[in-house]
Amino acid sequence: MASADKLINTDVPEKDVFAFHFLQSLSNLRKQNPFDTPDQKNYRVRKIKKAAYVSMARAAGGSSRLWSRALLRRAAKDDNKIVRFSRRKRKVTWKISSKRRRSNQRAPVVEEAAERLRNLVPGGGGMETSKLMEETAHYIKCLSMQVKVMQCLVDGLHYNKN
Amino acid sequence: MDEFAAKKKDLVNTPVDLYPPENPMSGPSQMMDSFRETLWNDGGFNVHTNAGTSFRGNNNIDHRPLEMGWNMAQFPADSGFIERAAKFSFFGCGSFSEMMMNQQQSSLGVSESTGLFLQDTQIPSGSKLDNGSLKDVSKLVKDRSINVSEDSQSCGGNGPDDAKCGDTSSKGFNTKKRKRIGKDSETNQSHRVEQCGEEQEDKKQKEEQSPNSNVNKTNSEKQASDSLKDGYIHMRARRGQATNSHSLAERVRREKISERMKFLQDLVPGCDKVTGKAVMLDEIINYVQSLQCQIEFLSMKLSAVNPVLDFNLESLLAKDALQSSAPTFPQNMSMLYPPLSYLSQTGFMQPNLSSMSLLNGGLKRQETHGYESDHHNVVHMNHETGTAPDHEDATGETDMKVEQ
Repeated sequence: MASADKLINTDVPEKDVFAFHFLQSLSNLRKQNPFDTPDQKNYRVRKIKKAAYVSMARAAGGSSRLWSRALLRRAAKDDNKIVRFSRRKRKVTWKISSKRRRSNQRAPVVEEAAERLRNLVPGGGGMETSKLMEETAHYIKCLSMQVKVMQCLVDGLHYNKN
Repeated sequence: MDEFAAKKKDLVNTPVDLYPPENPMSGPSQMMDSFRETLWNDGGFNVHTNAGTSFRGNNNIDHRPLEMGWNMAQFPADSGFIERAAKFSFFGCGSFSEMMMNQQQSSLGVSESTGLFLQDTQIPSGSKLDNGSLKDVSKLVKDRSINVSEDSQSCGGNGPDDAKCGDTSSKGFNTKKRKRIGKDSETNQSHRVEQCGEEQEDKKQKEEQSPNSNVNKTNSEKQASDSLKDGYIHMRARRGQATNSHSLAERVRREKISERMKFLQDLVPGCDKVTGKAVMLDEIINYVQSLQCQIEFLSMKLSAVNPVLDFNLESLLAKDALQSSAPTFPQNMSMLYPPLSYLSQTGFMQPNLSSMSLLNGGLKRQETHGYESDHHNVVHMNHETGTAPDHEDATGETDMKVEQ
């Protein structure tokens, strides 16, 4: 168990996996709420956005990544009907939040940027800076994949509409 | 056992003869007393790392228990024994086999050395010792000597108690580079004991208590950081840099961070020219923010498009068709993945659907892919070709919930 990995593993599944999960969640959404008569656009937008994030987290390897786990947990907290997130047996992890955060003492330039990053990346609050950057890399990859999927969908639907 | 008995007699006789006349002699009896004391006090085995002095007094008793399973102090004070004991004690916590090998080298056969142990246990039975307490001592040895063979195996390992000792001892023998911290070796050891088996990052993080401004002189020394099986990354301090444990940990941490920064640099488009951590990090943050904004924007667009979505969302493309789909397909079609569904036979099958079985086969294939185990509880797929009323019927009839 030596950390002898020279390369950080940020493999991300193919695009169709993301597409699959997203479509699944969308259809699920539609089944849950009749979208035919949108009462509030914001409501729908929020729902779709949330569906996008959740499906992205699932596609990216649900519990095997810190950020996806945090995302799913957050989503499951909000509405328990739609998103089911089974609690994993917690391993003992050393969380920096449990200790005094010494962020100001370690390379303050890096640390304040890391602080901002922590607010952006889900689950970043409990991570060390180096771990945070790993997660950020994976998160960026997944985000870009999800963006591509959604872009394709939008384009395709526009194309079909016209 | 017979040969042991024979050897025992040979060996026993010599020390036994010493004992009665020992009383006038102060040295050996003192030694025996000291042995007794140490045994009763510590209640365990002490390997006297310095056999010479231990024979003379209680000064250098190492109180750390070692699972050697035998105690050199048990040996009576014969000159030959002292020699042999000195050889044994040389190892500290060396492995039993090592010692045996060395014994062999020094013309003591293995059988003899085991006989050495055994004979000790036999002393009270076969000897004419009048020292009652000595019998007790030897009994203790006898009890523990059974463990000799077992413990010799465990000496190399890291039992929970012995992690510290193992580290201590192997430090002497291990030729690999360990993180030498000079005077802080003790604290480092304790740290290492706590973190034995934990991740390297946590180790570094724990050790650091206060940051040290590294004296970063330009150096040309190559820094060797390799990792062993035990989970530590062994580093050598660069030339001209502080060798404090904190600064070393800090440096490892910094290097990790910069390594990951490089990785991120490849990910984020347009960051080749950027140099410096701060700017780089700002770029990364901006990129993440922009991606998130993009998602939000696209979801807004999708919600606007939604009525169309109802009809076209689940177009049934079997997976084979998907893969063999011509590039003439619009890009979204090629990426629409066959959703899961069980359709009724009357089915609203689209013309491009090859067959139900294909879809079901695709379904099974998807399920065995194991993308995600914690799916939504309801997966459902509608299959429309017609207009809204048909859609309603379809919803009613062709729904089947797939519990996953």
